[in-house]
Amino acid sequence: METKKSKKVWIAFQGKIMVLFYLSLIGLIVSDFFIQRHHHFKIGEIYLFEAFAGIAFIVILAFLSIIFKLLFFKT
Amino acid sequence: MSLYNALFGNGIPPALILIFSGLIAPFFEKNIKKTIYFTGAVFCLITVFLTPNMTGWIFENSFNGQMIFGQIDSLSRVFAIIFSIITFAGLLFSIHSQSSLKISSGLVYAGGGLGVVLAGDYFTLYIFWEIMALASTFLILDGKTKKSADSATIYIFIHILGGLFLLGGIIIQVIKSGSYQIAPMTLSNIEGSLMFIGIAVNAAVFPVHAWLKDSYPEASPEGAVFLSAFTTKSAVYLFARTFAGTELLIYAGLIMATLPLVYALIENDIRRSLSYCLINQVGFMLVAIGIGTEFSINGAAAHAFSHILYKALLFMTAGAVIYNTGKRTFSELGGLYRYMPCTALFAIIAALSVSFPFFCGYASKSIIIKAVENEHMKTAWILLEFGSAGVFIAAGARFVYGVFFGETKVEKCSEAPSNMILAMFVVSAVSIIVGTSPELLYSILPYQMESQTLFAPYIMIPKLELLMFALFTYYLFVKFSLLPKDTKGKLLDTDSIYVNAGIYFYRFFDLFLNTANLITDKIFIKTAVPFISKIAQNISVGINRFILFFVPGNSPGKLEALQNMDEYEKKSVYPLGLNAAASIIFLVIIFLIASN
Repeated sequence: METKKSKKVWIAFQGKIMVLFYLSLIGLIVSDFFIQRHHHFKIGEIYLFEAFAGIAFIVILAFLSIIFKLLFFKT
Repeated sequence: MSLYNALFGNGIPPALILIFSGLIAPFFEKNIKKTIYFTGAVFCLITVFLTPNMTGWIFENSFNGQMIFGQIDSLSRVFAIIFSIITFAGLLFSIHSQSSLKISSGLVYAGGGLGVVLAGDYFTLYIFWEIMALASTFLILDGKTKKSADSATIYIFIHILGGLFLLGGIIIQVIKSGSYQIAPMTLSNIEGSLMFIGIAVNAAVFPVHAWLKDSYPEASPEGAVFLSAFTTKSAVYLFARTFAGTELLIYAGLIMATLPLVYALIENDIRRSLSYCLINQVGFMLVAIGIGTEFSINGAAAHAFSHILYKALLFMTAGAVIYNTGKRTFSELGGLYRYMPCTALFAIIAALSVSFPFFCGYASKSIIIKAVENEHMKTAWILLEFGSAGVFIAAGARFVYGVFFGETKVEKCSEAPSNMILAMFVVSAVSIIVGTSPELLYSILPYQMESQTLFAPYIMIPKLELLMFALFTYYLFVKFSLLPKDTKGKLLDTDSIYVNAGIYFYRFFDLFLNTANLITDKIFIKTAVPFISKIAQNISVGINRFILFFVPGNSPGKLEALQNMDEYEKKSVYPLGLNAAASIIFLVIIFLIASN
């Protein structure tokens, strides 16, 4: 079983990976935004949509899963 | 053409190679057995790759004229290639097993699947369809638990029912058209509708999808790898072959691409959760087939190819975990990356292969989503995006995090056996090769594909955003414990409706028929029959007494006859002659009544 120390190390590692990943994603978006700036409005629109869609979809999915678990789950 | 020339004229049909090797191998010693299995799988792979597009392996017979074992065209080739690859990988994954039943059933099942996609006529198609159903039942039975036996019973029952629908459609189609040739169908006639239902059962179309989530998780770890590949994908092939452009498939596909995700996210059994994700991905393929353009059919075929790869990889990693730990639920598993690092790595590759750029799922799913965009189907597009993000969370993030990371719940276990690792490596390698060089996959698709821009930043970043923000939201939900906890229990699905309906149907008829039986028993068996029997017993004696009454005097013969009558009556045994006489008199009376 994991010790408290190893758990802390692991959580810190996870956090660093996540931060790195999201920073690189934001970096990509910004650089691409400038590369494609001649039609940036359309590109920006897509970026906004996909980011909000990603959040919204999982919120909806989580909400539905809670409802379904309440309604259809029998222990 | 004789049977020999039909089977061996162009080499042996790939389907029969697998079936024969699966059936013959169990009769040999351990090493020879393994050699036969591998020779069959490799020989099949080579045959599929080397045989050009053609109509071959034709067996002329008196029943349906021609049985065509090999109609290889651009559509069947894609499916045949991936079926052969995954048969080899599945065999490699299971080869450590001592159970001949497991591997032989797997090969016969794979042969059935290959036979379906290469069949050139309805008769051959139906035979391989049923071989597939039968062999896969043994794979489920190989789980060797009571649950797996129950699941196998339901599985075979549903597939025989589905097969009967298909057979009904085929018979009507053959009678009407006079041809066994597999042809495009519509839903406007009875034969098309029957065939549609038959294929829909195998494709796990909502609401007849419940067999899948009940049976696949109950199979052995190795059996589930085979199961994940053939039944649903051969049905997808048949839909693409016969029902391309059928609008109903779009609606069915959209329901499948969205609804099962909710179940996948709350299901506690890891393989049941993956089974729901499998239904979700088949939904994508059905939407593409329902659109029916050349581009969308390419998308369906490409996604079937990719999906077989990464779903098999997911089932392999899940199987390796179950094989090593004996545990199969999210509530019992966690933190396994410490003990099974290679399996964890392959699970991450499988998760990324679902939707991530540079992995196979991205290369194929993009075509389907683009096909939907091309048709300006906005609602369908949003639902598929939802399905894409959702399956990445359910089959990717939840599976990988829940089993390999998170809280450590398993004491200690070893890494998966080397053959399993090798099989996972092979499938991962193919997934990455297809993902990084999608033109390889596009070159074998049914219709000509223009080169697709998949890796330009403006294409990739929005897709990445969708997935990463979905992942971020999921992370927040997990961190703040906003999702329902993984607990043991049963999640009600559409099968609850028809299983309960079946129980009430049984109870109704049990009550109705048994009451009718009781009443009938009381009136006829216990009252009327003894009464009639009594009359029948006495009637011949009565007639004789009646005749003797008119005999004058009391001669010794008459007295003896009367005494005999008393004796017969007491023993209820009558001479044949008396009965015959009574019968003749009875018949004469009936005749006289009838003639009036």
